[in-house]
Amino acid sequence: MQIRNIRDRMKHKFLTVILFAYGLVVGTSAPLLLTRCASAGSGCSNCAGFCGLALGIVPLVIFVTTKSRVVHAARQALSSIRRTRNRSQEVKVDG
Amino acid sequence: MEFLAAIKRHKWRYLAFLGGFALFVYPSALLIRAAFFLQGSTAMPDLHKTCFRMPFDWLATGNFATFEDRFLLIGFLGAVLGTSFLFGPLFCGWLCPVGSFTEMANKPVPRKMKIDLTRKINPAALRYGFLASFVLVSALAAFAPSLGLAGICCRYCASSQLQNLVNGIFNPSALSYWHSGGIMVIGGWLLIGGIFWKGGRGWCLYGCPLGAVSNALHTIGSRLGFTYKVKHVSTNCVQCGKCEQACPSWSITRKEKEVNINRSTCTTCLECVKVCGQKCLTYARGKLHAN
Repeated sequence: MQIRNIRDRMKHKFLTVILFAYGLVVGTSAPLLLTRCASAGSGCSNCAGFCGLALGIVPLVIFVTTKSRVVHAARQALSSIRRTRNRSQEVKVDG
Repeated sequence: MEFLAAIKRHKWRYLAFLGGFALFVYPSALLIRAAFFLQGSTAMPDLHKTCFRMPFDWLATGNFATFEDRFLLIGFLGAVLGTSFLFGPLFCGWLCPVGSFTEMANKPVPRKMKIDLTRKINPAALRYGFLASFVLVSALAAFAPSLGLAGICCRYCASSQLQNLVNGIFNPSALSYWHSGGIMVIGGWLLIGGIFWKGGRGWCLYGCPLGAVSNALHTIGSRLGFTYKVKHVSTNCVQCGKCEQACPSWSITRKEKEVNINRSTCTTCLECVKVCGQKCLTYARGKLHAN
């Protein structure tokens, strides 16, 4: 039980560090990337929108919302593969 | 119906939201007008004048005296951060026009259509990451002006976007903004982080640097006995979960008969206090674990 708690705490801390780093990298890189744009000062903010949305927020939202479903689907797929493998082995033994 | 019930329950807060608009957003911007009148400034009074990137520019140029909005900004930041330390981030929960705009826009949307990442992600870690990037980019913009970052920062700022939106309504020449690429940023802020976000406080939770600093101060202040904070008294708690559902900033989580309030995201809106039928949540002074 204690080992599980320690593992959970470490996992939580690791995730916190990853999220902090994600915020820092996305928040810094998006405006810096935009300085490369020739029309950055003209009032057009297509690149700002693109960097902020497409590279920053949307992938995170998609990842977090679908993570548990993807993991669940992968587990189901793995267990079905194992089941079919076991069945085929049983058929071989019977045969 | 849920929306109308919420309006009735929190009428004072929603009136305060309107007050926030009247105080900070052009064309009224009453507080900014008053500050400019007192110091004899002729600058245009709007939400841009409370830009909290400016102190970096003052530090970099060392030319503090030339900025017309310096007294307004110092007073504004001092008041917001001081109240955050002593009473919690009341500005965020009661007056901020940006947060209130998305929160109000979010209310009529059915719950099933909203993005809910509560318990899946730690908002505090991400928002402090964005705060660190804000400090870094602001310092770069101020100390390395050749990079041209100063104008770009406004593209990401929801306060700037809100003022631009309102300018488009009252000033026909500002209407060009509405069909520029800025609409993509508004999409991120208003649609993803507002209308379709549980609580409607997506920008506040992740993007707002002022909110992040306010909550950092509230986290420190809430540990002291003389400051005000939302407290949970578990003796009468029936674990109904209403507070968790009502919280617009995802600050309340329940785990094994315990209600945890995340001080790094709480905006002191007091929705949880109002919604609790057992009176387990209070806004008062004293130690955090009083029960």
